[in-house]
Amino acid sequence: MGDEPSLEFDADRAAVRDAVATFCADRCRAEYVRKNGGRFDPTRWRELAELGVLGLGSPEGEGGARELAAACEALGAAVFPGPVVESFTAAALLPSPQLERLVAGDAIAGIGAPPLFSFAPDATWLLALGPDGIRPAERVGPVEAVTTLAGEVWGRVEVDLSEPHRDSTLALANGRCAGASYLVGAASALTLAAVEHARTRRQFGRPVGEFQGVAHPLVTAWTNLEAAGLLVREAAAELDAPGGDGPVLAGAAWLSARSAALAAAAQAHQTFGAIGITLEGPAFAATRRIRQLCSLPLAQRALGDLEGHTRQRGAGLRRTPR
Amino acid sequence: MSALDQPEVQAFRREVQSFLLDWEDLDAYLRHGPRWERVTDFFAALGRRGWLALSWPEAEGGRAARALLEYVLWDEIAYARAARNPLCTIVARTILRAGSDAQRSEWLPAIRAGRIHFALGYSEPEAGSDLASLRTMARREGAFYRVDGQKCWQSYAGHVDHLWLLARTGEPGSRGTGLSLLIVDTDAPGLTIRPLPTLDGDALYECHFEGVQVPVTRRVGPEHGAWQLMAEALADERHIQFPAGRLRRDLDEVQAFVRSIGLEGRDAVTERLGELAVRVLEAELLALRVVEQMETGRDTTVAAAANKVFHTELSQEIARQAFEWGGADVLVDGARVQDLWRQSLWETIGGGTSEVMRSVIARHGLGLGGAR
Repeated sequence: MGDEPSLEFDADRAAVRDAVATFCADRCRAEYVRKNGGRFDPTRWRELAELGVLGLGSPEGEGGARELAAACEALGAAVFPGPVVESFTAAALLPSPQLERLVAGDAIAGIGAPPLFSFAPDATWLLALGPDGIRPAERVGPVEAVTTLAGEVWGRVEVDLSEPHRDSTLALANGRCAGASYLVGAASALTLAAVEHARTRRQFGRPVGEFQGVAHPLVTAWTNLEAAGLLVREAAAELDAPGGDGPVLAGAAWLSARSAALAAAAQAHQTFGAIGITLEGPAFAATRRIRQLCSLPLAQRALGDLEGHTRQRGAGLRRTPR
Repeated sequence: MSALDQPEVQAFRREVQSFLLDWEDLDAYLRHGPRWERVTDFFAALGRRGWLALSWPEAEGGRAARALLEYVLWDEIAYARAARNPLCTIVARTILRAGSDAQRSEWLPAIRAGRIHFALGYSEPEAGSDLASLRTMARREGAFYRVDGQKCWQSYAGHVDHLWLLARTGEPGSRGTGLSLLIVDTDAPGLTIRPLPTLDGDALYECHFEGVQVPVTRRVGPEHGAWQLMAEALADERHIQFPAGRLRRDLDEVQAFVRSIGLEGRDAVTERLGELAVRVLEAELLALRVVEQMETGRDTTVAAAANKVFHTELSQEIARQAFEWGGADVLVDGARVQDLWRQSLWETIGGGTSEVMRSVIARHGLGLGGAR
């Protein structure tokens, strides 16, 4: 079955994921994530860039959306800080010399809805996401820095908006794919940590995971994440196939991952109990990052597009016209 | 490229779709009972095409087709609302694995032709999810078993030719190690089958056995060896139990329904339909994962349980949402939305409750022991 299409990452993409995971195991350990507090770290970011990750899915990059998704899943599992979604969104829009700086990790982008943009104090480029597409935003005033839930420094700034970029659809699809995969990676790792806690934490004389009230919600969280992961990979595969349903599936994948990750984050806190409420505990670094990513304005029109697509084509993946 | 896009898969899907054009009136997926004769005609038509034995070995009259094609067959049949896969194929899988040569030649040709039908005689009043506690006894008396006891909640038992009976041949208390599988004629003396009308307009049945004689030659597999066989037969069929076609059709119908009652285009409705469309995509991928795992020789226990829970709960979610939109009109009997609501309530119970399925995933997928 070597060349059979698969719902899982194939060997090449799994190798991308594993390479990023290996990098993260060295350079983005749990202690680092806690100590760094979620802030953008230019040094780590350049190290990530040296892996060639930031060009994935862009016209200049070596890989496509599937490689991008594979890399982002590993970044999510490690809760790697920095403008992951922003970079993969911007990479599809920036012209050549600027793209090279982005891919090298020398400059970063922020996204948002005016006046609040992610990473605005550090970002070279700002992109405004709205229902009509992605508009480049030019600063016309000072940046007021603000710290955010996930510890990232964002900024409020007055901007002038240009016309929506003609490659908005692809850029948004890449951003959604990256974000969705990151969320699936982060929430899956968190859920498996919660499962491990349920296996080992004993109350009433037995591991708490033996109680249905503890086990079944974890099963639900895990199942929804599995489904979201399948949808992310399907969307990425479609994005790599010219003329496919990639953009609409990427929207679906973002919605799916968002919903599954938020529910899994809440469930993880519940499973960890008081341990998960502490700042140094095993949950908060991931849950605040998940919660923050989910509030990025990436869902623009995704539900409506999907409803329209379904109305025209019928529900589901079926591709044979009836 | 997705596996669904492969030319031979698409071609087969078109072939099935074209076949189903003759059966658009059947509409028996949600309930077989009231249309049983036409349902059996349909199965016979499937049989003539060799589609009831699509993945069986060629030596047994099958096509040795890959699991994905069998999935596509039942996916399209579900989408067309024609029928559910007949329970006789579970019987056939067991006979294929464990039947004697005589049993293979007696039963398999008739099953693959769609000529005979079975109901599964598993559940009892005191043995639902805890099937291993069942009490219906089959005592060996020479060349026969004498069967006494009661089964209940059997689908289709009032229509079919045979029961696929799970009975205790071992000591009381032998649980899963004392059970055997017997083929019992539904017109056997001493067997009384009584309908229990169900809220979806169909019926379940209860079956009383009083000294029913079953020839030993009607036992499939070793005496006391049923438990393992049942698990294996179930595993052979997991990829076609819950194809996404049912959900695709549910959502397509609900979307058309929304249009028909003038709610199309409202933001809240559009958004909710979009959310349900995401869920249907997820369900289809979970179903396809069962197929892929089967085709690559992996254990499908966890993936199939996840698919069953997700699929069945989503069927209820879609029905509930449509009911909310439908206003009072959906209260009128015969409204499709009402049918979906009535029928989907059974889905999270029959074939393993959601609670049992989640415990299977907890144990085998997440290593959370003992979560029953």
